[in-house]
Amino acid sequence: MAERKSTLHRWELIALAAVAAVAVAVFLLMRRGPGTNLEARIYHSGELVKTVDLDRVPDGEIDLPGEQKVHFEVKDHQIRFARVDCPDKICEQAGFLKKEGDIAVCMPNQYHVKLYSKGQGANG
Amino acid sequence: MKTNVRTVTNLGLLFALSVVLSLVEGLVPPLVPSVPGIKLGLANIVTMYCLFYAGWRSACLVTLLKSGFVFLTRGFTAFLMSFAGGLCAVGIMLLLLSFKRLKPSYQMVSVCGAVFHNIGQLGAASLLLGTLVFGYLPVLLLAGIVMGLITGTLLRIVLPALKRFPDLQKRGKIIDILLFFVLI
Repeated sequence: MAERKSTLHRWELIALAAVAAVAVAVFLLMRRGPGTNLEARIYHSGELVKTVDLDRVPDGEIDLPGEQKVHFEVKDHQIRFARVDCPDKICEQAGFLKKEGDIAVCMPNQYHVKLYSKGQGANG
Repeated sequence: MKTNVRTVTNLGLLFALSVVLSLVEGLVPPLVPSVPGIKLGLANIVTMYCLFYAGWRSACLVTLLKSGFVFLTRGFTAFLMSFAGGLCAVGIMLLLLSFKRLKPSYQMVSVCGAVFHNIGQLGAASLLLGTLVFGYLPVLLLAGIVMGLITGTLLRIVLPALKRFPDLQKRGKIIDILLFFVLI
């Protein structure tokens, strides 16, 4: 195998800079959503199991019927995974979701929660 | 027979190295706590070495075996994520290396592998959850670029030591692969 250049070519640098710029732009646009008038939709294996109105539900823990491994916590109109029985705790590390479009996923238990504007369609 | 055994042994060492690197990076705290799942991708160093110096079959085999190890230790969901990410990473790196006129650098191949590893994992997650979860994609793209540059640089640093495996430059044969499974 021929030896390769150990640093980036100019075209590679330009390509990576372009991708990074697009990623930053998309990220900032996605974060522009409002932080109020939101509801959290909790899904299990793709099926909606609970909708939480973040403006009305008081601070506290939310349990799902028949589910012992996954819990949620609502605080200051935000929601997060809490006290989850899973090996990697990645879902809990996502922290509180506060803006429209924020999402947290628990792969081992196949739950995910995403914030939507109230009245928005399920896949909007 | 000596050469086959040596090839199989070296592949076994690379597989073990891939597993150890995965375990080590699992001990590192989340690099960006608010966006979980960002990892160093150290195991990709082994995959890249295989692609550059041992052939695409060795790279695919190491990726498959590592995914199998993940299946045995962490279950089907983690296996699917690892396999999807590994497959996408190897696929894009192979594609990039096939463009001989481009002669991509180690870092570029590494970055593409890292980015597509993340894309593959997001795809697997979307499949499992039944909904698109590409909201993480922008951050994972940036993380893939940074981590890919790091692992590409690390590969360049350790290459003088890894080049001491001369027999791996011969393509593995089917019997080598079967012998490997017998040995493990």
